[in-house]
Amino acid sequence: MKHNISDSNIDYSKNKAASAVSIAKDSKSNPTKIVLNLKKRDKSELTSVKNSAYTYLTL
Amino acid sequence: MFDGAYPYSGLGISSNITKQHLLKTYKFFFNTEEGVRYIINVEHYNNNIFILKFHPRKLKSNKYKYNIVTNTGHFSKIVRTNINVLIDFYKKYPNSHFGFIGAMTYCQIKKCYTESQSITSRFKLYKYAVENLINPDDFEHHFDEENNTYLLINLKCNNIDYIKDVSKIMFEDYMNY
Repeated sequence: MKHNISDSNIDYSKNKAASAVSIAKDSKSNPTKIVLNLKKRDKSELTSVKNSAYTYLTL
Repeated sequence: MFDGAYPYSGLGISSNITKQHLLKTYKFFFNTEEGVRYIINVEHYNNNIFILKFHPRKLKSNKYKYNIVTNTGHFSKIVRTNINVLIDFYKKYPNSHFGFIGAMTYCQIKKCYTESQSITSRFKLYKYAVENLINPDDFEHHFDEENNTYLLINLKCNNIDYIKDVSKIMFEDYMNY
């Protein structure tokens, strides 16, 4: 008996859909993690943005 | 702006803690002229790092309590009240560091966030308050605009880099929780 093996029987559109669902599930269970990038503000920069109408609080 | 503040009172200390790094939460309240009560939560983390948060009491069970805008017209007075709390904690814990997050605005009617994730209007306002009221000779200012995070590191501290590193981990754990 001869078997005709061909990939024409495979429905790729279904596979694509299955992959998309799998990726969506993964991204839902593993959302992008927030990584902070804390930048120091130079004193000169802080002084330059300060509004002269305000006085620093005495601590 | 930021001239007036509300008198506030203590509500107690919560030590029923489930969050990592968090030691306890100090709770305060104040009332606006219209009788709207606000709750201030000061979260005390390791290394004397304090995170200030506030919300209207009526939203205490709302998942978006830090995101909803109440439009009471007293925002600068409310922010200044929080800064007064910060100052009182600084006096009590002279080696303390402070942080805050400017949460994204959420609309209860549209049921969605109404601003982008970075540089939120709350973040801009809190940043404006601290850069005008907190002396850079007392605190080193650090921020991450993309994630609306601000950190004030006490300059009395001998190891500023360490505090910055542990605060970063703490903030990230909180935000990724």
